[in-house]
Order: sequence, then structure tokens, then C-alpha cells
Amino acid sequence: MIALSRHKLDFIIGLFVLCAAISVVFIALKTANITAVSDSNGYHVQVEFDNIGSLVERAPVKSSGVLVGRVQKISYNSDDYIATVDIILENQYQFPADSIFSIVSSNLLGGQYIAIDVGGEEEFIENDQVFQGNSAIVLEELISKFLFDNAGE
Amino acid sequence: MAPEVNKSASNRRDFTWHGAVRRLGWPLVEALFNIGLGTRFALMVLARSGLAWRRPRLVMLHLKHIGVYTLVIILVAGLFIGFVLGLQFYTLLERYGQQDLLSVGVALTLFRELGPVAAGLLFVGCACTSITAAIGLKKASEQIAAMEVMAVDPLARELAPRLLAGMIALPLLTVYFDIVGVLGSYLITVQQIGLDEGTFWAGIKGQVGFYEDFMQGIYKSIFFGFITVMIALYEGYFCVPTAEGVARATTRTVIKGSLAVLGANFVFTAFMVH
Repeated sequence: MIALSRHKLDFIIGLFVLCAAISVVFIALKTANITAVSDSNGYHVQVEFDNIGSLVERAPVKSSGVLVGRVQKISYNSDDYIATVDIILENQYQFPADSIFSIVSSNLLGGQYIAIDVGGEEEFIENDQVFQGNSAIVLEELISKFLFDNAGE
Repeated sequence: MAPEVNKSASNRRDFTWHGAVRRLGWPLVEALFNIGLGTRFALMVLARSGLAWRRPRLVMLHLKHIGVYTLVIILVAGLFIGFVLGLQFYTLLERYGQQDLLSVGVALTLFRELGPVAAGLLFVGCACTSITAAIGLKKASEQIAAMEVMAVDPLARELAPRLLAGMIALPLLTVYFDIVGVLGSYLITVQQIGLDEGTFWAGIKGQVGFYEDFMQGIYKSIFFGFITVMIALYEGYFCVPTAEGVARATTRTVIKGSLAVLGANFVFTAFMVH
């Protein structure tokens, strides 16, 4: 039996335990990254909106309520005065080329996402394709439209 | 392994490259040796815990010391943390008119994260320091050497019962912390602010799972009990057998134990979140 004092073997054990601990932390960091979509395995689509509401980067892209991708980048196109949203869709999901992208709210408090309404075309969306999306519904605009329409009557 | 290498390297006045590499590498080599020794020590204590199983009275004695005497600080701390959690959740949820969710938020926070971690940190400060000091003083006054002379294994007789007691005590203390925390938030939000009592308890009953939420914290705290007591035993057993040596070992126990609890908690949470 090895006596309880420092021994040559301890260096090897220490190295082994340290490697094990580092790999456990590494796996933990990987699993903690709960994003279902990583940017690397997906195809890129650009959607142009007049108004993105309160959409943020890394917001979900859903079809029939299922997460199929994420918003990668939001930028402003100062030539056409519109917002361009870069989306990464997962490779395993293919959508018809006439699908419609629209910004909708997940609940009344906010938290907006992009919903894909699937079209009927035979061809699928290709990488780097550009779409025109349906803008977010701004509650104030809706209310004012309702009020002014009624005021006219 | 020889510490003389370190000495000769630090004594050298003129700069040499191999001296610099040696000075940089030595702490790493030292740390690796300590980790290795600590692992071997933990395995040896576990392997000799048989006596503690056969003589539960030994474990009971330490349960009283590290469990019961830590209970007061756990109860008071849990109560105050429950107060604060209740108030904090109330100010947040009140903005959205969702006060009904308060009890669920408080219970989930306590059961899953705050209970095991806060109880673990208090346990390190309260129980583990006393373990280190007790073992260190036994070593400094050569009681451990005397036991070996009498053919009594100090690992089996002194260390293993403490380890078992710690692994039993910390989960129990965590349960107390959880309960008192929820009670504290109940007192502040239901009795003081005036939330509905039925909604408060029904929320916990309906939304908080026993196995997936409550037991998760308990599994954590069993491991926290093992790792913190093991650190305390290691520091005590290998301390420099003087008054200052024991003092330093106690400080190291608090530092290493607290960091171990927080680090291990992250790893546990990362694996348990889905």
C-alpha cells in the first residue's frame, strides 16, 4: 500500500484528475449552450421589412410554432430606407420558395419572432435568397387606424 | 519532486531561461501533485469508511457537531434570504401584474440553485472550518501519530465518520434552508403585503416538481457535502502542524471549499438544464 505522503504517482493522478475536470467543465459549457441552432449548420436568408418592431438579434424563427432558425443580424439599409434581417435556417428544414416571412408577437408583453407561412411552390428556398417580409404590427398604428376610420363615419 | 529545485532557482541572481521556466512551471507541478494526493487521499478515506458504517455512533457524534450546530445559522440565513426573495420577486412581478407567480419563482430559485449553494457556503464557513481545525490540532498535538502507534487507523476512526456525517448533514440542512426560505417569502408577501394565501401555496403545489426541481437541489447538496468535507479533511490532515499552520489550513479550507461549491454548482446546473 502506498503511504499517505507525496509520491511520484501523485503527479500522474493529478494530471489525470485535472484533465478529467477540464473535460467535464468543457462538456458542461457545451451543453449549457442551449441554442438549438448553431450558426454553422444552416443556410442564410435575407428578409427585408419596413418595420421590425422590437425584433432582436438571436430571436427565434418559427414555422408552425416550431423553432427552425434564428435571427443572425439586423441592419438598416439606408439606400432603400428599410430594415434587413439576416436569418440562419437549419439545414434539415426546407421551405417552398414562395413562403412568407412575417414578424409576430409571442405574447402581449413583447418578445417578437419571425413566423414562416409555408407556400405551395415546388422549388425550395436557396442559400442567400432575399425576401420581402410582412412588417411587425405596431399596436399604436392599429389603434389610430381604428380610431380614424371610425371618426370618418 | 524535490523542493530544492525551487530553492536553487529562486536563489539564482542572474537571469537564465531554464531558471525562469522552472519558476513558472513549479507552481503547476506543485498543484498537480496536490490534486493527485488529494484524489488518492479521498479514495483512501472512502475505502476505509467501513468502520463508520459498522459503528454509526461515530457518525452520530459528528452529525451533532457539524449538523446540529450549523442549523441555527442555516435557519436564520434562510429566513432572511426568503424575505429578500419575496420582496424582490414582488417588485419585479408587480410591474406585469403577475404576482400569482411569486411563490413559484421563489420556490424554484430556492430549490434548484440558491438552497444548495447558500447552504453549502454557510456549511463551509461553519462546519468545514471546525473540521479542519479539529484534524489539524489532532495532528499538531500528535494525536494522529499516537493513534497509528496504537494500531488504530486515523482515516477510519477520525476522518471517514466526518465525511459520512457531512454527506448526510448538508442535504438535511439544505432541506431546512429551502423550507425556511419559502416560509420567509410567505411571511413577507402574504402576511405583510397581502397576496392571496391560497394562490401562494397552490402555485408551489402545481408548478414545482418534487423530483425534477426539489430533488435536483438535494442531489447537488450531497455532492457539495462530499467535496467540502473532503477539502476540509485534506487541509487538516496535511497542514503544517503548528498554530499558524492550522490557521492557514482553515483559511484555505474556506477558499477552496467555497470555490468548489460554486464551480461544481455550475457544472451540475449545466447538465441538469435541458
